[in-house]
Amino acid sequence: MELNAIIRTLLQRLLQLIPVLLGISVITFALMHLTSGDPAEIMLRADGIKPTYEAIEAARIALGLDGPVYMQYVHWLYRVLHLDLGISYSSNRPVFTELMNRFPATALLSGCSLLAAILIALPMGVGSALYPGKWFDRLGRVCALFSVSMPGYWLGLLLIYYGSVKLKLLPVTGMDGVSSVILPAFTLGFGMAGVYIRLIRSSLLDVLATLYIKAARAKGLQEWRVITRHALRNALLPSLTLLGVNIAGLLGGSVVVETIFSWPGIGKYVIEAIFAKDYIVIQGYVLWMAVVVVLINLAVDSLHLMLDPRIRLR
Amino acid sequence: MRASSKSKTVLTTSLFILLLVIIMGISGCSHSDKAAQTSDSGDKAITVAIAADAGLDRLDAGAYEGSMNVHAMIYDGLVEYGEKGEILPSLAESWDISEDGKVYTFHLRQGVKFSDGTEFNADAVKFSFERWVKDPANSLNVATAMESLEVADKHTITMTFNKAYYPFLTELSFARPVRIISPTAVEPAGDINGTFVRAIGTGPWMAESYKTDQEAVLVSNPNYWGDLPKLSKIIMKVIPDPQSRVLALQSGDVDIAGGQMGKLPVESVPVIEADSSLTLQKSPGTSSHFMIFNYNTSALQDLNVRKAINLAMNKKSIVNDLMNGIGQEAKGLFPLTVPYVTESNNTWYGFDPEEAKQLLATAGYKDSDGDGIAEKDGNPLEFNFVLQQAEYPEWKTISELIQSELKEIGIDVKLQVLEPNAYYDALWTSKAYDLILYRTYDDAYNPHSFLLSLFHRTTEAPAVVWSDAELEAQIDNAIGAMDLQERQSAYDSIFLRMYQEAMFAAIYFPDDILAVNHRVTGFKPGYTTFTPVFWNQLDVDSK
Repeated sequence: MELNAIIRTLLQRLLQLIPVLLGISVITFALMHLTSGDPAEIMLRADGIKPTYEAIEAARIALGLDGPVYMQYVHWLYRVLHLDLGISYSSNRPVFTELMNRFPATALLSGCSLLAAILIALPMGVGSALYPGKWFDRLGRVCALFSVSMPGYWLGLLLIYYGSVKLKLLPVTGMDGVSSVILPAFTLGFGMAGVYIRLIRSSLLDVLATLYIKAARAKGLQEWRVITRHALRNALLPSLTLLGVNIAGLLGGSVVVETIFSWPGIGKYVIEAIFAKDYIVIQGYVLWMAVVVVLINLAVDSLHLMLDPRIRLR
Repeated sequence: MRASSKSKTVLTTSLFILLLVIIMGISGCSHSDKAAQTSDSGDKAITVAIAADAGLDRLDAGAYEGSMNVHAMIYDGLVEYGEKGEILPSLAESWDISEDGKVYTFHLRQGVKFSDGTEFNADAVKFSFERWVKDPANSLNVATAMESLEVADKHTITMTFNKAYYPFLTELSFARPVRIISPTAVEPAGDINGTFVRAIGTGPWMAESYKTDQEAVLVSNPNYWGDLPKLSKIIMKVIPDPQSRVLALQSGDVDIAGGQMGKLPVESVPVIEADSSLTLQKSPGTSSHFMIFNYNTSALQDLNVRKAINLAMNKKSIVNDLMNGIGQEAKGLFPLTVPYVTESNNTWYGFDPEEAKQLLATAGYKDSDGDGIAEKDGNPLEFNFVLQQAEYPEWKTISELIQSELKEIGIDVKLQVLEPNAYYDALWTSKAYDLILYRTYDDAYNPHSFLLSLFHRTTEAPAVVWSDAELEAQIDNAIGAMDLQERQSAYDSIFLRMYQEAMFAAIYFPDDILAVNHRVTGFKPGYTTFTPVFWNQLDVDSK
């Protein structure tokens, strides 16, 4: 594949973003208007008093909710085309600023969780594949079982109880220095690791049985070279695809873990917006996430091209 | 392959070591910054858990933004809400009310300064009110009924209203939007249409620093007009998860948690009571939980059916068995902490399933086909019972108990747990329920405002809870009565009518529970949910 071809593919994928974003925004807009509750009324009720009819009307006009639904969508779209995601109903602040204020916290937690998942899954997966049926493999199996079956809120609370209350090693909650990211990152990372342990194990076992590994060994290469250079590089490709999906999920924010650990991330913010029917925030978030997912898929595909010459040849 | 077993062992060993390093990394990372915030040199600070962002950067005295608790710490009102709704002086030292109840003259406290040194006077009061009073989104009577606001002299201000309404003073004790903000808090300063820039009030606390969704730090205001707070700093830490709040209390990361600023789960009460570093503080709240009957459901239009439902509920068991003994069984719509509620007008139906069955029989309901459900003219006694769990998790177990108790007397109840928006839609708009769980408002909204909102028709719609012309007339009477005696007897007759007509099913009076670390001294619970603690009186043990 020539450089030109690669650039063309990239551009094509980026252009595909436009119909994707349009479709997603129409669907979310329609879904939100189908669920019960009027944002103007919810906003006023949050103050604790049953608002009068006049108060609700005034709030509706102030929020731009007085016209027909399709006009509201057109207005919103017009603003977005001018790179303005709008102002949140509940906080009166620009949605883009609100999202970007919270995104670094979520990105940090995502990065650390990913690191934790890799640090757990890679050694366990490789070890399990090298000694199938032995104690390390069994340990990997138990680990994977716990990883997929323990819900995040339970593991999170257990970790806080033992790590913070009993041993007093780490802070209970909040985002405050390196020590505070350890527990939430481990909670999220451990939850993801199980699948990778099994995936790495099975694909490594497959690769180890191939002829080119036999050839590598026959050349007299040291075993660790055979495994790292020849086997792992091929065995990790399936995990890479899954990783793309997981990263996108992480960047969307984890409501449960962010809530338990009081992490000031994007997930908790969006859940609150959904309950408050803050259309503007939800629309902004959905757009943002659509862009993130498409870009990450693009990055994963490019990585595949780099790592696997066979795809490049096609 | 045999030849490579050595390098394989090396690989495994290194993998194992890597795992160990990770585990050690996780457990060995010392937690150095935890103690710092509580033991700064000479700083007397405590940390308080709050459930949601304090919104310190938009804590405008005239708006409904951010934490109500912090609002009340930074800003003072003209008057303050005392025990059982007694109106106490605050920024107004005294006030006169005209004969007809329409003109209020406030004599302001002299020598008061805002936290930035700006002088507090009648002009500042006028400025604060004019910023929000004209906003149509405001439904407070002080706003809708206000005709004029005149500065008589530097320390006197007069409010003229178009009607007599005794709770004007009560409304002026609210946490917002009635409190007084400095003219320098907006840009350009003193402009009523100016944009809010910072929270500057006359209250005992002032904003120091703020991290969205993380924490708000308040420090004592050296210009405060009353007794200066004993603490120098209060850190409000955002912890949205109730279980995490309990864990933060146990670990000592947080000194105070609970109340409406961040509820503690009832099931954690034994854990808190067993912890030697914590004290559980219970104080009776001003709200109550009750069941609304839909007056459009024909079976519920029969007084005997409504009485039977009331008599079938074991309210003591709800308190003792479901709520860990926190709270009281309901004896009416409002608990005794609410103004005009007295021992004698606070009576309700007890627990008597036999009498309940009798009443159903009198109403003509009999189980003729032996399925355990009573019928009348072939129609079984069935109700759908709507509730929500998101804001009140305890409602699930309470409603399940009620469901089984009503089954005992031959009523079939279908529970319908809705998400909050759908729930409020059913309650306010669609009325798609036979029975629905609800709660009264807190604090100064009781009793007048709650009665007006839920038991009185508006221009657009009939009453929400129960539509009764006589009750509405009695409510009008009570609200318009300027004479205390007259007002008390009007309320007595309101509560009596509710009881006689069994207009709803009273269930539960919750307590506000707070947990306090032993190092905090001088704890005294407040009288409102927005002032759950008298913050100024708190101190820390120097040990």
